[in-house]
Amino acid sequence: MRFTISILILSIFVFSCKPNLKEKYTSAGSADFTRFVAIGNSLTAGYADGALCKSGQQNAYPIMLANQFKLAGGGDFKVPYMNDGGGNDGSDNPRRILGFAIPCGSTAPTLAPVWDAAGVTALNNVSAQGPYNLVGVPGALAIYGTSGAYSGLNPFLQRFCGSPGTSSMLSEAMRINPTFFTLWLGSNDVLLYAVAGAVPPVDLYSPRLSSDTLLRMVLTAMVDTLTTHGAKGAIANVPDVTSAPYFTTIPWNGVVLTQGKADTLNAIYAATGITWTAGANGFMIVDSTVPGIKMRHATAYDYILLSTPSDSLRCGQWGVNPLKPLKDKYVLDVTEVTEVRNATIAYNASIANIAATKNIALVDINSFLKTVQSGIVYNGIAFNTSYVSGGAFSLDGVHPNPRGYALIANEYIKAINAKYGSSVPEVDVTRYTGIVFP
Amino acid sequence: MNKFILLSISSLCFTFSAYAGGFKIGLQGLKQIGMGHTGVGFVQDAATIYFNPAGMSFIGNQVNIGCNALMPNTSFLETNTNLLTKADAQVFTPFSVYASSKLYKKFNIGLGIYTPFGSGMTYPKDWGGEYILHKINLSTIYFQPTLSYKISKKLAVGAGFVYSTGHVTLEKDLPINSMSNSTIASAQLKGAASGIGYNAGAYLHFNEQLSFGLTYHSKVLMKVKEGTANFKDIPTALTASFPATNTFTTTLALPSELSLGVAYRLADHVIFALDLNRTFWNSYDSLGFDYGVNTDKVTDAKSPRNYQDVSAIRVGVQYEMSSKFVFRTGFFYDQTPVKDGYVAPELPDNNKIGFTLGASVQVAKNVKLDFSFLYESVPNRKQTNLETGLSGTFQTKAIAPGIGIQYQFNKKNNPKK
Repeated sequence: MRFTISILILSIFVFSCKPNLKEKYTSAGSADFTRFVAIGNSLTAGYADGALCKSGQQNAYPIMLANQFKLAGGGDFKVPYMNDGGGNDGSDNPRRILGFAIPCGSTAPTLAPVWDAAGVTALNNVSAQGPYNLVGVPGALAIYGTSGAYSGLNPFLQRFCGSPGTSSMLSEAMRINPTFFTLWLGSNDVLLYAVAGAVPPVDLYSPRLSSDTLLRMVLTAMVDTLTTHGAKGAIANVPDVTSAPYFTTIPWNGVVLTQGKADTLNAIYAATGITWTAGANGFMIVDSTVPGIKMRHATAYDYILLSTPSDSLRCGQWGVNPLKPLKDKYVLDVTEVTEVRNATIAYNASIANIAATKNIALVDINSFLKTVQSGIVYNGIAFNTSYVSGGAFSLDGVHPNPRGYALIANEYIKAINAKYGSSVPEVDVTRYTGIVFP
Repeated sequence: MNKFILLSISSLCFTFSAYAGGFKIGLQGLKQIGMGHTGVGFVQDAATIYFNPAGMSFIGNQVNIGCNALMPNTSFLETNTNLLTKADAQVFTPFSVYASSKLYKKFNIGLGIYTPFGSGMTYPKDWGGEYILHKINLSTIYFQPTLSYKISKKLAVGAGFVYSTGHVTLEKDLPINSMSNSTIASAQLKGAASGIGYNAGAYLHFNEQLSFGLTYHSKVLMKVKEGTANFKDIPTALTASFPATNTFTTTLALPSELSLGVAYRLADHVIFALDLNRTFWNSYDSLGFDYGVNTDKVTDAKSPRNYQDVSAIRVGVQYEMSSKFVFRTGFFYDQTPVKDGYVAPELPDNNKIGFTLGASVQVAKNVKLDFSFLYESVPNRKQTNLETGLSGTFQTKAIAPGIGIQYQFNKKNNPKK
């Protein structure tokens, strides 16, 4: 008898000696992920390292979302993949990778972005295999969202849309008959203007800031159509593009002088009222508002763009020589920064308004990027918005790398779960790569 | 025959590595484990060298050898990703060897070799916390020569010097991707450690019914003087930042503990024991690594732990069925020193609840075999680590069957008949 009891007690212990933690039940809540379509620009397409390439597309956040949605009733997700290779930026340049380059005035190779040796990948036409769930169009502005003519002009949309010149991003998305959508447009409406240094438009094709009224009108029309059959969805807002490494990497005060050099420059600049001191000085930048000389020192409120040729800064006396102030296209000066930020604020007010009136989820990428800018830690990986070392952005300094896209996917999931009472699990960011070093 | 058993048990223990799960290990004596790991106020055998050095004055010349097969199972459910991770199942074999002998008149001398602290966790290579921890192994062996002095028939004091030796291994992946190597970069820290301390106690054999004990285990600073820091699969472009052979030093503070014990004979054959432990974990406020070579990527790191002082209560009952058979059972509740926000994969701790069983069998005139079984549950703890951001629920359950042997050299010296 005693023996039986002890065996019984022992077996209870043994049976309960394994942890009983279980995965939580995942549900779609009031959303329906059966047919999911993602509409957006390069950020939605998985553009990174300065080009659209297949390996980048595979790490697009809508694919991550679709994979998570599958855990809550989501269906297949079709992507208009490029062919293997170095990708294409739309002007037949491949992506950049980290490699070694010898900077001017040096003999030692240093780490720098170089062209991918795999070379450019021609844009393949995959429209016959459509329609696609991923309607991500590099270069697309929000105000072109409903334009059929746009597919005749943008090669990235042309390569997968049903009928070029007629299909719009919206009509392509509607071919899926979506039950759920994400819409992230508006970033290019400020970004293209900002990365070009906010140069005043000279012709129809020059980048410019979109009219907020037009942006609101188009996005409203898109959401109206998308929700016609009762689809639920999420709309994402526009980040402050000036916090991207493209704008923050080259220091405004990169002219470091000895007293002797400063004296020499002061002699040269004697008549202008501009002075130089030993130590760090702001680059000389073009500023048409300065009477007479039309130039001034850059301040902490001016951004020198990553597109500025670094060898010219190092050895070509750019930004130092009075004949070579940094041109407008390489600088986003303080008034342009304000202009870009004000446009962003206006767009985001419109987007928040659309989310509220159409009762869809709002993904606040703007706030999220601010958080990243001050530094976040995800499961032991530290992120910030620094170029390369920050770990979130790709080598073009504007688009995220795969880990950065995974962080964005999670912002979508959080907003969607909160809005629709769903319990879609977040993406495991640690599964994705960051910057790849040679 | 006796010697053969002794030999085979000891070889079993020593061939396995001496790691253990959990940071502090309550497996220091087979008979004591059976009673919820009580033994400060109740002296049974030479394991008193650990539990209460003064107790040596009340036992004869004897040797106790024991070992346990500690089998912890840890699961982790990450809150955000809903991904379940199971730490690798491992078997650790904490062991103990105690020998006690009469020295001269009222003096007794003894030696204890035991494993009071240790930790061992291995997570799958591709789990969500791979950049925090892949593997930790921490093992310590205490050597404690001990002297006790019997002040009167009822009262004794004792103290031992502790020399502790051990080693520590830490492995994690680094979030650095390489173009030429598909294996993710990783870091491995490895080093031998040593430290010293002491263990002192007083024991009052009040009468045949009642006894008391008081023990203090000092803090032991385990110093790693020349650890090796290896960085593997580092991309060529970053090798200057991660020197291939680097060293590190660190100190791990093993906490002091004050214990009070009482034993009361409830009936002719039934003894009840109670131990209260206070462990002063606040000495473990941070874990720092001081590297031999510092670079932009390898900087001296100090990571906060902020452990708190905690208490444990342990109770046990022993039933002496006959001169041949003794049965035991016990229970304990052990507070966690790890505060909210500091729970980490290296020690997924929570308040612990344990049940124990035990038995002794007299197999020959001078030989007893001891058996123990411990079940321990570390209930769910849902946490977000302040330093790493890892957010999820840890749960651990462990069992530890144990076997030991006692050899009594001289029956006449045993006051307990």
